[in-house]
Amino acid sequence: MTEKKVSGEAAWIGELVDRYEAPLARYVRRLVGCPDRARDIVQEAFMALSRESPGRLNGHAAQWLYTVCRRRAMDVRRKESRMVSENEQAVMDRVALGPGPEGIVGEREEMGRVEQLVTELPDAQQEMVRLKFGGGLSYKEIAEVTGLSVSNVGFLLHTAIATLRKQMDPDAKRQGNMR
Amino acid sequence: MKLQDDPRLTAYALGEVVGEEKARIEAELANSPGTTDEIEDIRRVGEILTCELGGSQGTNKKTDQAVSKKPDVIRLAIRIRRWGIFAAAACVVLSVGLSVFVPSFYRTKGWSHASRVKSIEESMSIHGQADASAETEQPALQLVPNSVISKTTPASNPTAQPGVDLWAVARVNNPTPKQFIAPSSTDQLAVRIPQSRGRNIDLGGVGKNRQDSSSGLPAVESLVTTEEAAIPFKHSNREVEGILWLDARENPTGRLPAEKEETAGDAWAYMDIKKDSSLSADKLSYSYMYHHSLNAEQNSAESNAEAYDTIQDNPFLIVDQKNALSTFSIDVDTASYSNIRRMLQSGQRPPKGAVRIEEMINYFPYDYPPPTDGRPFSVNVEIAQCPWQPEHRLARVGLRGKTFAEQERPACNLVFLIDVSGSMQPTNKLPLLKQAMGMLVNKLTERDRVAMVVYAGTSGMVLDSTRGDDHATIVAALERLEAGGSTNGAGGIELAYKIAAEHKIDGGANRVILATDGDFNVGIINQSDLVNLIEQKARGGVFLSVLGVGMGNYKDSTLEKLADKGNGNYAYIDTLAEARKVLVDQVGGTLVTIAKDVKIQIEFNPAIVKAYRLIGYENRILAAEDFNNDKKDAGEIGAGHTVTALYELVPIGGHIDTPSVDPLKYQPQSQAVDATTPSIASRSGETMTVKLRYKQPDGDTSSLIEQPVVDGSLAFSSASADTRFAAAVAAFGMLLRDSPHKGSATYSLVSDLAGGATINDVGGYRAEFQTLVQKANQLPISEPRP
Repeated sequence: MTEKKVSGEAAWIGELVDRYEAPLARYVRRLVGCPDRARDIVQEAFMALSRESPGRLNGHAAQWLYTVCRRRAMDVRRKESRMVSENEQAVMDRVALGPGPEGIVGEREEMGRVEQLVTELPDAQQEMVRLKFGGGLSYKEIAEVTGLSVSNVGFLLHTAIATLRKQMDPDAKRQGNMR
Repeated sequence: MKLQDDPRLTAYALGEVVGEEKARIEAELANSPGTTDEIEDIRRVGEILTCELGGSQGTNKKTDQAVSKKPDVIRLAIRIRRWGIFAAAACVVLSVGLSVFVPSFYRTKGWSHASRVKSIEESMSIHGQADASAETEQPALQLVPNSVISKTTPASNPTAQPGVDLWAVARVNNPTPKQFIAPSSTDQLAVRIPQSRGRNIDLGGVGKNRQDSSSGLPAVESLVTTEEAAIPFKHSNREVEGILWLDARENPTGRLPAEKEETAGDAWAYMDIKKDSSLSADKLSYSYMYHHSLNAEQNSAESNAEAYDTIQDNPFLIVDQKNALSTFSIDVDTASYSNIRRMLQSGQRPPKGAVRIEEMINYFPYDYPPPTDGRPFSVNVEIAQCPWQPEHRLARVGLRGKTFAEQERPACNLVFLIDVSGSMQPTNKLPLLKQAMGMLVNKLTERDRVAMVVYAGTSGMVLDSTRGDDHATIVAALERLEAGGSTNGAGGIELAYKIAAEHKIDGGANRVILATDGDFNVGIINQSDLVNLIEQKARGGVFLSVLGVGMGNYKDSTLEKLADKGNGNYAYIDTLAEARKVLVDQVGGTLVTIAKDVKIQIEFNPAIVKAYRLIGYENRILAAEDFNNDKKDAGEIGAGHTVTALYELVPIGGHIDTPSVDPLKYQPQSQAVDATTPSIASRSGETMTVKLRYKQPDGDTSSLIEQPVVDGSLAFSSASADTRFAAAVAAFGMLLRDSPHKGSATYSLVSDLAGGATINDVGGYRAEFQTLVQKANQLPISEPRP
């Protein structure tokens, strides 16, 4: 592989990491619960992405990333529910889990208000919102990632946005743009 | 109609509706006053959501805030994850508006730093690589994966001390974006923390003008006791100064950057860089830390995280009173050969430490006759001319374990302990293992038992001990295995041993089979604890086999040690054929131990042999007195296994270059006495006596086999095909290691030797060897490496 090609792909992946790493991590985290696991899943996905050729993904990198992450997250969930743990406590002692109670409190404070509202949505709606706005996917892409129908995606998003609108109002209108 | 409650309105507002449908909605909208506001509202919510949930914008905002707290300082925060799949250097969190992504980091996880988290230097051992090719015309904010800065750094840093160092580097971009500055220039800041504690912090630019900035800096005493270190630095050329903070505490409070999702194992480093007029946030492109060892082998670009112990060839030893006995433990491991094959096939020269000649020789089956005297193995010795040193003799000691017909083999109680961490995902890892295990399952009968334990972020049983003929259940459990998560070897090992003990078959083969790519990177990672556990369980009659799978982050020395201590063997699986060889064809040998603690001791006759050299087995050498010490652990031999050892002998009268020691003044002149009054045995004409000690698999006391050997003056060409082939493999190994004893060996000699010895090549292993010799011969001559 030539230097030029390497740096071209690096730039390509670098941009994707910049754009999607954080939203993917938040998305996956809601699916698997554990921030550490979520980060590993996201980074594994980028690692896998680095083996794909940009041409093959043909503009569908985001959809690809979300699909891969979602599948992995689901695997993790399935596996964890399947496993019979030997000695729950002994294992827990060794496994690095996410932030402790203090960490979680800190995280809440850190979380933007919008993020917080999104977190309070029902799981399915929340997932749609994260895919649509976090990942910038179209309805059709979301449908492909999640296996739902396009109209189902539309309904969930419509409901989610209606809820969010009510909760943001009147703040959202006054500020115009929360940034 | 009420468009407000219609999902189509949302879809339309978000730009999801096109074509006829869009026209239809627009027509409806025209008749629905008030919907314009609706649409505006939805779009605004969408914008906010995109802004808050989207990618780098969010990070940027937080970064800006962090920087704005200290207007004169640019803070770069570097998360250092102590364990976990990602060597943390990839997670540059607050680097000003820039994430760094370096895929090659992902291969550099592993045991070495996870196993020793106690000292800060090691806990921060990040193996980083970045940006050696920055001289090319790239936008300033870009990192090039797979290029290696550690390659350039030590060369341009002549005063660096040997040892393991931690570097923090911040790059200051040239203000003119077009003129990107190469990393060896003075525009880099590097802070080096020497490995030895309590030493001064060395600091300086990496480049030519390093001396400009490396003087007059305060020392930081032991990083371990202070837990926190603030290292001021100043770079005279760029007039950049600041403070590097290292924080070894877990969850350093009060200084966490915006992202809160780190685990307890994370440590942080910060680089506060004081701005001057020539430096602003947008000119600081990134920072990273990396662990850097000046040990040339680890340092080399090729040897990412693979760990190999260095090996010194056994020297020639003069047959005198001190060295007349050569004692070693047998070794039936074969992983080195598979590993070398993998490297050669990918056009890479194996590092010398990866070349274990005895494992290469023992990879191949030899056609020694099986035992006929009721003992668990036969001993077959042959002496012939040494092909790479014709005035020397080559002695081959070959053992052959007894074989069982399939129905006679002892029942197996197997517990598979399978690494399902994310790194096991590639098709040459877990999927390959699953296939091979599927083949093994077909061989199991109602007498056998199989269980499966997986380990990753947590560990658990996926198949409780199941009768071997219940193929459907076992296969279904296999099918469910998926890779993902991080690795905690120890919890799973305990569970696996527990299941094995619960279902122990007396007189059977009770074995835990650990299949991993060698990374145990979550949880208790104290290697000696792990080794102790395995040793203790082996005494209880449950042995451990280790299957190394995959490539890249595969840890040769760790896995071998585990298998050794668990009275087990260790094989490396890289292809389905190899997996089949290990798990199916050799199911007898891999799984059924027929003798344990097998030691070989050879006494050489000084009247015939002047000096000798054991080829390979460097890490298997035992003290002479260990031979009769039944407490001393040694290697195991499995059903049908062959074990081969080669000695190069210098006949009496031959020339030998060994450094001589002055004659001892106060000792009796034993040499002279021996020469003048030889013992009766030394006049027997025997070259040597081969002695073996072994224990039954469940026994505690050893039995002895003794066999004198006379050199029949065989020419090499008259030696058996097995001896000739083993000699070829040994010569190949010596060439790959650039052994000082390689004599006249060349790749074409190896090829000739092996070429005449490929008879009975069941499985085609010897033919494949020939292709590897060709590959090695075509590799460019490597730079000298230790």
